Amino acid sequence: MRKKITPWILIAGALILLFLNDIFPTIYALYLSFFTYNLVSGAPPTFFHLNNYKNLLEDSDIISSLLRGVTFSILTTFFSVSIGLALAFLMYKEFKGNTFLRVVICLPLGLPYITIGSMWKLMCNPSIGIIPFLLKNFGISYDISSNGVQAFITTLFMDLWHWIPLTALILLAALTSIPKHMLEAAEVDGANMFQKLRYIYLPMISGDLLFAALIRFMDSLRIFDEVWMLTGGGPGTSTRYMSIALYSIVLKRWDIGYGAAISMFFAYFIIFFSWITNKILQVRRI
Amino acid sequence: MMQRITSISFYLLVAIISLIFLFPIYWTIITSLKSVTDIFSRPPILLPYNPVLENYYRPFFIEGYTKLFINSLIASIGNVIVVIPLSTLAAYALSRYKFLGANTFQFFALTCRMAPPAAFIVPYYLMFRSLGLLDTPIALIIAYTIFNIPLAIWIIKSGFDSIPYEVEESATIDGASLTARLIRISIPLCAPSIAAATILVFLFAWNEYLFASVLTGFNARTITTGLTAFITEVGIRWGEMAAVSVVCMIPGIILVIFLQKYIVKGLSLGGVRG
Repeated sequence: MRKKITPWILIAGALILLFLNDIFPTIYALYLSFFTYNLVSGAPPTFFHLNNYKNLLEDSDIISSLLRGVTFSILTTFFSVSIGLALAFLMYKEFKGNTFLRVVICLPLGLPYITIGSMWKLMCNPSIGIIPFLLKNFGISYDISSNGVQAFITTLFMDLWHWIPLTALILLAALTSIPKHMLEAAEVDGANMFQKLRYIYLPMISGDLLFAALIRFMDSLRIFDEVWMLTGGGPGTSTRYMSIALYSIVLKRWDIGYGAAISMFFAYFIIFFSWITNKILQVRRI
Repeated sequence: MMQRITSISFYLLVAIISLIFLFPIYWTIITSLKSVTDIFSRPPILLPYNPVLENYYRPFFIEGYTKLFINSLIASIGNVIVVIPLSTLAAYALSRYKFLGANTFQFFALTCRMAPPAAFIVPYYLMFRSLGLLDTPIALIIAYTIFNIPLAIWIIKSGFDSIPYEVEESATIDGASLTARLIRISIPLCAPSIAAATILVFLFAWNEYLFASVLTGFNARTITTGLTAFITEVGIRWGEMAAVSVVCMIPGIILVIFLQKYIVKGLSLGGVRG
């Protein structure tokens, strides 16, 4: 009997904290999402049925930020995995300075997300930044505070700068774990680089490629800090991704009920993808 | 000759890649050392000949950013103190016992980590407001456990998993209690994993912005939230923003330089998969 209780005593602390921090707020947000409750007006919460959700589905701001976020995520996933793979092959090669390259590539992963935003802000500002200065030589006028397309592309580049290192490291680890004798056997058989890529490398790391892509997709759906610092979601709505829309709505209007409804919608959207991810990874393993 | 050319072009490629990843950091550091006129100079100055420290002096010695720095330290260290002991015990249980709900608990911990932080700002704000904990480091310490406990459990569990059970078994036969076994054998053997988890938990807490910006106002503001204060109605204070960014980045840069070889090794152990 004692043996059965022991593990529960050991995990109790972590379990209670996670419960208070995850389950309780989720239930609370679900509850609030059925009310209209504004902290600015100070009126007590009143029951609002499903009207918050109805408003949400008719709110073009929310729907367009969701679509914008998904577009952003698909693009950043595609590029970070493909460029990350190329970089992983580069680091897989043994050469002098390999360690230096690894340290350099790891650097973006350790930085606070918000400083990545401020770093890019320092480089992109038309009056002090180096990027507009260099692009002017090519006749391109670059200003992310007025040109929405440029702002979107810049957030994409910023995200790639931040996260290609992660995909590269995941894929490098996968490449290193391929048994050496397979590659040697292929060489004995006279396989060229393309054949090795097609028949050994890619099949051996396909699971990791998928893993990297799914991780990147879900992570980039939640992007907030760096974009908030760089563009604040603008100009207009061109970089207003899901988290930014939610944050601005909550902090501008303090409309708690509506904010909770958006939170639930957003959380379920991501949980749905996590669930699919989990399923895909499980199927792959069998 | 041909080989020479390939090798040179290869190193050129490596140099360009390194430059791409280093340049934004370099640009931030040199901007923090430039005077206002140098910041706005065109063409941009790539090597400040007369570096100044006023961008560091003003925020940290006049405008109270030292306090934000200390607040960040309190929140991060406090978070480590709460997260590491609890996660070590939980990781031990998950590694050593087969019990009903172990898998559910692990999946639950994973979903906590996957949850979008922005979705939690509404309930967290109200929760901590009704507890009277808004604008205190305690609010941040508790809030950060949501992503740090799953992370720490995952890292420490893989440490316990790698210790052969026989080591403990012999101690059990000698009559050592669970507490004695944990303190004398398992935890010391697992020390490298616990250390790695401690560093990462500290770093994640230090780097966090979103919760800190909502849950703190004046007293417990952290250094990352202080960064946005340089964007004012009348313009952006570039030099100070760069200087405070550099200070925010220090723990991360130190960590990466010291832990680089473990990062690749850790990823290849592949605990993430699943």
